[in-house]
Amino acid sequence: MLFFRSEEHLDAWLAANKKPRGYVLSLEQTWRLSKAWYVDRREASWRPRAADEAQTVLDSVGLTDDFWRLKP
Amino acid sequence: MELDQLRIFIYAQLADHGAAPTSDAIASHFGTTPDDAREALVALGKSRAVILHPASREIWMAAPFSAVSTRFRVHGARASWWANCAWDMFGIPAFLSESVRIDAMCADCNEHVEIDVDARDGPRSSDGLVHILLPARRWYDDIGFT
Repeated sequence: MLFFRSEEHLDAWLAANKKPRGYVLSLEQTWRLSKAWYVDRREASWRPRAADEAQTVLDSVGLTDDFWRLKP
Repeated sequence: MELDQLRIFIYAQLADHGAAPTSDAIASHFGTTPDDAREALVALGKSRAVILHPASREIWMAAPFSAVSTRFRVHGARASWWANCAWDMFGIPAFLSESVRIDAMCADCNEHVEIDVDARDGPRSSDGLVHILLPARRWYDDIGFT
């Protein structure tokens, strides 16, 4: 999960590394995802999420298309 | 050694000092042997609460923190931390509930970009983007690459 200064820099990196375009998040979207993902990590009762629980977190911040499906 | 106590100790060390404890430091803290500490780390690793470095078998990642240097440095009032990836560079202020300044390197040009993050309101600028190469179902095929 890499950071780029702009779309132009992302396109240059994809071309140079012959990689397909994946999914692009704005900084605001990434912040919302991180907050939802790590909100409970400090709690003593925290356990790694099962796939269904993780999917619920992704769904909660609007990441609902096929790219974000944890199970085929 | 209770694994929940170990996990909390690891995070406290990371939050306060910006570095993960070694198995020797864990053994010293819990009054046990380094072998027992390493065994506990392996058990914690099996639950994905931490990821151990494949060579050293010491802590490599305790998400959102990285125990090794990365392209993402996060500066807070009491310490600085390495984040595993562009997702985790925001995960650190979210985890700590602290405002920070992120120093992120562009993967294309290696230029450093500073991003101020308010603990409540998030990033103060919108300059930059995060690219995720692999679809979610493949994230754990190779977590280091991801």
